[in-house]
Amino acid sequence: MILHPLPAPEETPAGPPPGLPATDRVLPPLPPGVRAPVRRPGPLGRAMDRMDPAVRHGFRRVLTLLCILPLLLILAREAPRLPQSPLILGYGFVVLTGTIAMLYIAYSKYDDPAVRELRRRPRDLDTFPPLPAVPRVSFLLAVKDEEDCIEDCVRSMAASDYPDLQIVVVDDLSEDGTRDVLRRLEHELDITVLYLDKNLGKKHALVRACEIADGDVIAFTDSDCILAPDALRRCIDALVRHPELGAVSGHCRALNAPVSVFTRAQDVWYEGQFRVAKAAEAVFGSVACVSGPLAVFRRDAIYNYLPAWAGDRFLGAPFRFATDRQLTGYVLGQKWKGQGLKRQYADSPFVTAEDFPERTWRIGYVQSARVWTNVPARFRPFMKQQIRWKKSFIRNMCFTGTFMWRRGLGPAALYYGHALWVVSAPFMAFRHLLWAPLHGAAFLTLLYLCGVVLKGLVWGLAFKVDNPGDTRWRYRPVMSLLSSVILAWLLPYSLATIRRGVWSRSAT
Amino acid sequence: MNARPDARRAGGRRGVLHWIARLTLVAVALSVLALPFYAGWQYYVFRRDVTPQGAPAPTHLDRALQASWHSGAEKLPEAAPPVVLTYHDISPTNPSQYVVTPQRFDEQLAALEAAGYRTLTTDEFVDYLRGGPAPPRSVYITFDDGTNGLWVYGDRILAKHHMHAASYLITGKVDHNRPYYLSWAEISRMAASGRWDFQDHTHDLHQRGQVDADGTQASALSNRLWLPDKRRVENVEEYQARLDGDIAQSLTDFADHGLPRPQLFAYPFSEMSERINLPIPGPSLQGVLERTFVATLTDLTHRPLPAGRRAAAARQVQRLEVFQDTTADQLLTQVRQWTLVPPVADAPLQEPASWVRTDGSNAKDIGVLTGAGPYPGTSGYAAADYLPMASVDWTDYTVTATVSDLADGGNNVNLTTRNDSADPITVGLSRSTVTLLRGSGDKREQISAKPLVAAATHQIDVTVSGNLVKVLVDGRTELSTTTTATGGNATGGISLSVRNGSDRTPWPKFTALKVAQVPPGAATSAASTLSVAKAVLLDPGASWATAPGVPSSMHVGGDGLAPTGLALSDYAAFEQERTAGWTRYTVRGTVRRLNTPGVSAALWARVGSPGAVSVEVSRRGVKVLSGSADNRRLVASRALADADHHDVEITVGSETTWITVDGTVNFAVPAKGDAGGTGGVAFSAYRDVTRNAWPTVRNLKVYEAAVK
Repeated sequence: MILHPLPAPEETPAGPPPGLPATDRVLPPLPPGVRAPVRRPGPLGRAMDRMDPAVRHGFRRVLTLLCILPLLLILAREAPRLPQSPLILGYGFVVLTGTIAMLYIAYSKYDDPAVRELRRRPRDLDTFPPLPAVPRVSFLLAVKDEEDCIEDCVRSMAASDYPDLQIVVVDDLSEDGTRDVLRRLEHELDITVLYLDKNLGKKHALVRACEIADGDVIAFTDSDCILAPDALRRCIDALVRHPELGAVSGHCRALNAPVSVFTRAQDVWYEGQFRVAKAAEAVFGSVACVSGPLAVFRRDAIYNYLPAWAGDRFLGAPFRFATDRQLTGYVLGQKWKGQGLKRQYADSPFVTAEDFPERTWRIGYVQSARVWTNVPARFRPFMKQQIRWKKSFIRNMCFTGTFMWRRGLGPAALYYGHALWVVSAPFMAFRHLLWAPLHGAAFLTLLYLCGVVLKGLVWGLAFKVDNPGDTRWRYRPVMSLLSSVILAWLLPYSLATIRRGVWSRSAT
Repeated sequence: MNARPDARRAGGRRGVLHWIARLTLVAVALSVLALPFYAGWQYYVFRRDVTPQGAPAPTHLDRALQASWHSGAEKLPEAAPPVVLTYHDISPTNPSQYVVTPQRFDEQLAALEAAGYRTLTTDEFVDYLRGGPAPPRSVYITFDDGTNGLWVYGDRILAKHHMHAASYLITGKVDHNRPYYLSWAEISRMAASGRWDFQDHTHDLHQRGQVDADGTQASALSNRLWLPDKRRVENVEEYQARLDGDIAQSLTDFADHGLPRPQLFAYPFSEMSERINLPIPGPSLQGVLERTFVATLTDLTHRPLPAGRRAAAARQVQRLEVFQDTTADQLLTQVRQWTLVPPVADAPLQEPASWVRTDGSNAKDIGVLTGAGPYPGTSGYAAADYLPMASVDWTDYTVTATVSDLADGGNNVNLTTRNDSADPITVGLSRSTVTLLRGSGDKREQISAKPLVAAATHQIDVTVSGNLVKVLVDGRTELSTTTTATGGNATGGISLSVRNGSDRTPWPKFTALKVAQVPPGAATSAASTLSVAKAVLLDPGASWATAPGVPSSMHVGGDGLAPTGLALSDYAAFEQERTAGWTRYTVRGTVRRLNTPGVSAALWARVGSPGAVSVEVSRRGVKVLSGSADNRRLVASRALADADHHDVEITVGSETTWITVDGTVNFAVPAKGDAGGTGGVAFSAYRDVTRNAWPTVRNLKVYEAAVK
């Protein structure tokens, strides 16, 4: 059911045709409850805040288990029958177990590193160099043909309440009015803009920005996103409080959610991908993808690997996609891969300038760092985005997959479990949606679809728990059905067409 | 900024309560995690072991049928030995003839309920078998094998009718082949409901096994099995050990699952016939089982054994098997046929439906017994049992039968009492002979026989009482025998047969038959009184005795008596014990062959009393004497005209004895005090030397006299 194997949103979709740059625009109205602290804790929350951390954790564990008790009951009800009919029950059983495990980890163990000190800290914490109390932050953005969004995006970057901020925007040879907007903003706001005279692609463009970035922390966002003013500050806060964190990801939702059923479903789905999936990974300090909408890295965690990132090749050719997954991979795997990458780009100024030691960085997720992105509102762009993500996933499997098992049982289970899930999804879709009805086992198909809806409802309820006033949780089962009925087929398609993306330089 | 040291410091301040809280939370979390799985497992085990019960479908019964069941109850005894029913499984889909549908079962119970039957528990049934009083009208419902259908369908239907049943478990199969057999979980629920109890149907011998080198398959319980390794069948010890082990394991299983020890055993396959190689003599299977169980149950027996005194004595109970196509109405009819009735029947020959032909003819009517035919041929044999199931406990009854068309040279009838008991007694009757036989079929052996006053029609009275069978033919000829079988082994009803051995003779026929109850002990082995009217002095079967118990050597035949001994005197009294009460009768006869003056002969009356009268005649005189043969005194004498024969007639009144000789010489002897008394008749003869021939008496007759 489900979960369909999407990494978190990553790239800027191709922009719409150029329009006239808007002037004097302020930030668009954001969803309510954004700037203010996300939610005021209720009596229970306040009581828990007063608890000793260990007791609070035990208490959360009990609460979480009580909340997922209905799922446990379903699981327990079917468990003894599993040996009798493993083929019928096995798949649903495994998926349900995975869902329960992920919900349990995400809700009982995750702490926002910007709000509280994490409970699980590395043994060699003292070996991680602490950041200054108020580190300098370089906030980078690459843009191409985003005339409609770019102003809102850049203004929201500039509106960040972080004190020591360097904003660098790279225009990758935009051909619409983007450059005009940027020129206007360059004068109005305290930002640096690089106008490239040759289209380099997103990663190369960002590396160019990095050349002039002088912050201790390098943050990225996407050109179709809008940040909460405190989002960046919260991320930096998390990094400063936790020297072992090499990077943190923000929490992204859909900016254009009210547009259609489609966008509403994606909005709810984003919430789950971050609040549950990324939170579970963050518990083990191994978020597999620091999402493009708000990706914050320590300079010493990525600086040496920027040339490798920009020059990423796959199947013998440059690979355009997988920007944030790959960059995340360098942070996660530099202990094992770093030496080789540095040797490969030994002549690059990024390597020669300063050699940062390879560390087993952890990567966190800051739930309170809010960012919104425009999601595809129509079917075709949506499918294009999904195919891109699938290709990124495949490429990244071949990198991150080679070392993730070294990071420990928890991260490995989450990462490879997820990978297995993605890979098996098309087979399961085939078995349940085609093979079973053709062989008179329509009941199995019904069971499968019921499982899909059930899982959608579970995730929807999780959304409801975190967003009490929001009724969009109802769209989550739609996303689940969409994912299992349509998106599951995209993996083989992406695999078959992966070289198209490899060589294609034209970014349409 | 780094909060770690704070945490460490905080740890230092943590008290006992903190750790209690943490441990408690861990325990609670583990419980919340584990409890669903524990519950899930329990539920799974519950569902695996306890099949959901099917709701009984509403049964629509024909009102007229129900009314007939209800009204039929009035004819049934209020209390009678229970009828034992055999079911196997209940299932709406199984096509086997041994499996009834839930609906059919429901209807059958409804019919039993309407007819006023209650159902017995095994304990109640065993109480009866052990000699307890017969319960109110009842059936004892048994189910063989212990199948799942009992729980799924049977239980709810029993509950609906407030009835009880016993399930006979193959304990080795419980929890196996689910869901065909019951599980222990279902069994314990059934036992707890009070609607069920559980008895034994072997542990694991409800199967057939190879019993010889050829691979013949037969019941593993009742046969010694072939041992392929040793190329031989089990020896007696091995068989015995296998049997004992199986029973012991079965009892252990009952005990292990909290069930009361079984008291009854049902034979697998309900068979008694698949016995191929049990050693003879050797351990009897039934004998082995009787060491553990009160009784065994089976559907097929060699003789009728419905629950009753006979079955209790045999420790084996025959059950009425219910099949898929047995309707409720048929079941009720069969139960009625199996219900034991008292030995009372005014005219059994008028109820053909109560008879079962046993001559292999399969005919339903008994015209062959009553003269109506049809006959199997001009000669042949026919037989029928009366109420073969319902009469098995008959005892203390009398059968009166009238038989006609008996012919010389070859036809006869049999009347068997204590039919199918351990000691059946048959009365054989022909025109001139009555025979008493013991045993059944070809193994009958003759106990005694008596000639009869030949006649085409005879009446037989047979009294079965205690250990005695007493036969009286024509109120005159008496035979009796006692049986060594006692109690339930000696009970049984009646069976009739007719045989015609010749094409020239007619078929004999029973023209009347009646069965009546007699009080226990009513009949004794003592001889019964013979009435004057019935008496035939020259009856070839009559007893003439020199002294009580000493048969006379006189020749009785033709129309007279002729001494045959070598002595100087001879004496023979007619049935002295049975005639001791005779009075008001006349005995007459002609004494002949008074060839010489030295011989004489006497007719006697009032024999056995002190006032016995003898009238002794010789060629020229007559003497009237009083007293017994050993001590006579002269009362009177007269001279007679010389002749070699004289007619003598003695009439016995209550106060006078009248004597007439040759119709001319009369005496009237007062019978008072020693000269009176009641008694029968006798004849004596005297001679002076043995070379003289014996006188004889002819035309000897006795008849009632209308005197004071």
